[in-house]
Amino acid sequence: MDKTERQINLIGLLMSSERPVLGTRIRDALYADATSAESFKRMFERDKDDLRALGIRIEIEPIGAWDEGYAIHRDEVTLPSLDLTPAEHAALMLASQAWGEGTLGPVSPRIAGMKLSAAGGADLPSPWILPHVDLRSPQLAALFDAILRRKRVTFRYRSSGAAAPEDRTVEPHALRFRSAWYLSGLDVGRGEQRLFKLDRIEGAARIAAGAKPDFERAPPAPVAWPADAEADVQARVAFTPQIAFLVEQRAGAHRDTGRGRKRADGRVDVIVPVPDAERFVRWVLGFGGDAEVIEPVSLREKTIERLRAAAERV
Amino acid sequence: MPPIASLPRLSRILVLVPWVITHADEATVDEVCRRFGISEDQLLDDLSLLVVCGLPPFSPGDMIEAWVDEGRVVINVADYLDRPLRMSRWEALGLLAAGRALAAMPALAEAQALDSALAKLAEAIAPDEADAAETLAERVAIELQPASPEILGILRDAIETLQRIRIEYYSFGRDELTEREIDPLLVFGTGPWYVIADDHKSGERRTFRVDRIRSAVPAGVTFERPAGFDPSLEADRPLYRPSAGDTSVVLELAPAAAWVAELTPHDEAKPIKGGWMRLTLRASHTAWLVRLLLQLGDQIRVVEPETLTAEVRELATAALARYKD
Repeated sequence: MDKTERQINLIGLLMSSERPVLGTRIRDALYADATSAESFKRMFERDKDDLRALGIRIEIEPIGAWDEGYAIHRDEVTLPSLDLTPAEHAALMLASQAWGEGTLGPVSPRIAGMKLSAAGGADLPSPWILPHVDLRSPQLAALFDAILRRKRVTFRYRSSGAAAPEDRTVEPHALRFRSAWYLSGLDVGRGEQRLFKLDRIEGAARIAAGAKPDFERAPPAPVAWPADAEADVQARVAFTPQIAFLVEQRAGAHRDTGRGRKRADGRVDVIVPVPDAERFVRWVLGFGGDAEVIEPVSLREKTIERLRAAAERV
Repeated sequence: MPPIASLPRLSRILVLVPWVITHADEATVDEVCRRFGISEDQLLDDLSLLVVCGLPPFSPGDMIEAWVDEGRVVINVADYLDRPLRMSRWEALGLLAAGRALAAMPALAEAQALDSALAKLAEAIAPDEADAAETLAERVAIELQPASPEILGILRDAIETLQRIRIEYYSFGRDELTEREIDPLLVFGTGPWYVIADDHKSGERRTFRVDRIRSAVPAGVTFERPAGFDPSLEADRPLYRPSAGDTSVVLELAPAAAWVAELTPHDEAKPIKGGWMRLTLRASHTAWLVRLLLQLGDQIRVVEPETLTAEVRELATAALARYKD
């Protein structure tokens, strides 16, 4: 009997039986190929492992006072009715399509949508929007597992601006996706809460040995994104109209309506928060001649200095 | 629904069988093959496997029945295979994360239904995975970049009612504001957001960034949805598609500029002396590269094309002219 055939039959036998099934009956019905008690046991254990990996648990339960048998509880392993309204079903189907080709853990999350669909209910008409969260990071599954089991992880991390990667040991607290995946947690070596970009982890993250949690459960600490840092400084920048609308979408930026006028050449003034002078100057330079820093003077000077250097670049 | 690539055979059968049973009207050979990402031969193999499966003592009445009838797949099976399995934590995580991200979108009519559906989803997860589900609800967050609700609303209407729109679009690669008419087909991304559209200016299917659309108004014309347009396949397509006329570019990045490699599609990234990195890529336009060079100053070196350095000097000189007063 082919392996998949035998496993389907095993599922059928155990799911359709009201009582646990004796090992000898399973062997007689499905493992006629097994030449010895030993080889039956080996094959049966392998099949049990394969099925468990799919979420089908085979339980060992007493039969009467003396015997033991095997059972699969259908209600526990199959998808229960979720009593979704058609709108809810459609909304979940939309969410299930939101994946790239990546896999997260052992199974593609797209299969969740297939399961919902297979439980009945109409498919959704072609969607107008698909959020497309990238699950290709090879670290995701391991890090999620470490968060779940509260295990420390160690990985080689190339921090922004560092010439060489360093080993970091982290108590992982949460995963966040913001255009890319980040891990937040306690950097054990530095004794501080840090944010790590998964793309900058080199090689595989190693989970500490042992089953016991390494740290206490705590609510995930709020994450300070570098770009969200408090800005004490505000800059006034004149933009050409073709760019101004882009800049106004930036968090915290707004058109200077106080003056309520455009410049004579059609340019508009936008007030932009400046959490970090160096980043700000670089951002402005990216607009070439479409942006002019008006004030503060210090930032205007810094920008001019950089433009002069670039104008003499060889 | 997108096809599921290379699902192991048993998992596929365990979801294919209940799907065919609950969708008897839709289950044509073509549709089943498309959904499950298999060839017709593979499907026929699966069906011939099913017909030899059944319950002991395997008399004719105990066997699964499966056949193709005038292009339709028919499966009759005792009740043990008629429901899909519960979701694993990974599957549920995928759904929860995407669902929550979507529920936070402006202009999304499904948001409310999503909220209540996500609450019910907890029931779908295996009992011994309940801890995992709770943890992921608390500790995995997807944040979407905000996009103009006004532009998104116009795009949504246009896609759903097949209205051509006229947009003002800032092309970053070329650094110019263009006006064009497009037939929008799908919005995708997580922030930045993109819209795939048939573009009447270039006569090609193009991908536009939603935040670079300055204005959008209906053009007063409807269009037909192109045959064979599959949203999920489109959203998987790389944003940059190389073409023959592209410029070959080689850059060297200081450690502090390594983020450029993370954000820019490239052919090769090779570590070189001093922690620097050599990046090889192709570009259809170079205006964005010139601005990038201006931004990064001495953190970046141009290996080729040599003309880029002169262009940076020109751009810097032009920008400096703004400051002469």
